[in-house]
Amino acid sequence: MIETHLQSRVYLDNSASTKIAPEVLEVMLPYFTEQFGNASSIHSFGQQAKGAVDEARRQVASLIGADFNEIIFLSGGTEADNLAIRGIAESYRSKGNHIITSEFEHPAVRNTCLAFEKQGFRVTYLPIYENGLVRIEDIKSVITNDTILISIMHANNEVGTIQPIEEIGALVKEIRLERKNLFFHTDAVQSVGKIPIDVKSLGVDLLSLSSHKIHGPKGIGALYLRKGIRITSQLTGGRHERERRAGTENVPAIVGLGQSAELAKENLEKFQEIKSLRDYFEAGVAKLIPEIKFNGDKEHRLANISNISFSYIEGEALLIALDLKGIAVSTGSACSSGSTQPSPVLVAMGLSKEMVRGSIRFSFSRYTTKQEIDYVLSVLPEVVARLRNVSPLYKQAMAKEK
Amino acid sequence: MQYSKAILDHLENPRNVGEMIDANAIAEVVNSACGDKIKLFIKFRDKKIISATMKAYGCVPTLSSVSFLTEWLMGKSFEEASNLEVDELINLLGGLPRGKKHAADLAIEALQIALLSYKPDTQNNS
Repeated sequence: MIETHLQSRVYLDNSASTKIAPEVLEVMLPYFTEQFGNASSIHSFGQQAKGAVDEARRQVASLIGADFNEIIFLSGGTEADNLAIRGIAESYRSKGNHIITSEFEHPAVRNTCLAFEKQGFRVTYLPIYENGLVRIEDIKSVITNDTILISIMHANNEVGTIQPIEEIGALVKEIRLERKNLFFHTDAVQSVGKIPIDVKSLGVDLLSLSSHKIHGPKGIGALYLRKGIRITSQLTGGRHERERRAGTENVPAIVGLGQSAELAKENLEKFQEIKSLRDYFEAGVAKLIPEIKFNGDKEHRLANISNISFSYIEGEALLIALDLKGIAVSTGSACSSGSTQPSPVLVAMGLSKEMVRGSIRFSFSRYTTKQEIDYVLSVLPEVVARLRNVSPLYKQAMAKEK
Repeated sequence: MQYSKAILDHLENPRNVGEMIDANAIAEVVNSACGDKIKLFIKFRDKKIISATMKAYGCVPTLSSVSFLTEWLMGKSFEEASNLEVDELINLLGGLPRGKKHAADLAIEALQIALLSYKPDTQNNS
């Protein structure tokens, strides 16, 4: 950990992970100690655990408008995406071998689709445009009778843009009137608990969610699977989770996920207040720092994400310089072994290499305060100016302007 | 990413930033794979380096390596400067995380190219 010069630290990396809510931790603790039973056991210890898992299932189902039996607990967003894609592809492979996804997806989806390409599936990666959104016409133009799965992320983890999931869901329903075996999955890890979600009105068949993005514990998530759809379980073992995910339930974590879902639901309206904090932050940055670019659609975007490219400087340098001031953010640029791996999302949005390298994601939570934002605004301009002063690109650009 | 105190210090307080008009050894190098860029300016007088400045774009160790270098070069002879190797620079920086050695490579490349460009100025007895 980098030593900072400050007593206080400002955490603006809530899209990576969030701090666990005290109320969540509190309800989890008894399930590590006195209520440690296996939820499959029929004695009272087991039944207590099963009751807690059932309650969590109700809480999660309630947050997204699902039915109790449509929730499968598993280890997190990555496993949910894997189970959704692998489960459908393997179950319905005899009906077709085409998957539609986007250039925009989390590696859990992107790399799983790539794995299926190697197994003979055809995968179409829809382009996204400068605003970070897919276009429904593009989906219509690539869909064929062989398409069995569409997987499009709900809200993007880097820029927060919210895809037209409802429209895609309506299209899928329309197509399904003529052809049964087409399913629609969305990775909603970033959006669940941040915007109202109703799986029925979105028209999705599968939806991935994760606990640690909503002030719950890590290592636990859920997949919504619409009633009546069969998927191939990816783990063989006991008959847990209605035979769709073997393995003893992680009861404390499931309880934590349930509680974090309930709190997220209670705080949904309050979460939108983050938008005014985010807008205040962006207005401050725009006023104080020249030559920046806000990435992602201004309207169709989560309230808590601000992705900004700072010209002439490199994201990692800015990230570490901010960390030294006690501010935690993330960057779309990862330079390792002498080659930079630019964010595929920002590249897909048409940003220049330099603007991708200079991109920083600030992501807020319901615990973020105005004082924290003011502190960031007091530090950021000086740090950016210092790095630009060192940058030969800045001097070149200034000379061109003259 | 774990960086040494020295590297973080040079990030926070970059030394000798700027371009030198009267430098007599200059280099501009780019890592084509990642886009990192270094400009290094060195001034010799009486066969010793009396000043070195830099500009740098890139990740933390790139900025810090060349910032460190401009300080280290002060008072060094041509021979001492040309004998500096990548591993020694990394040691002087307190080590580099895995995958970041290229930053020190680029700084040493800048130094070597600058020394190759060195044109002694007879009037200044350099």
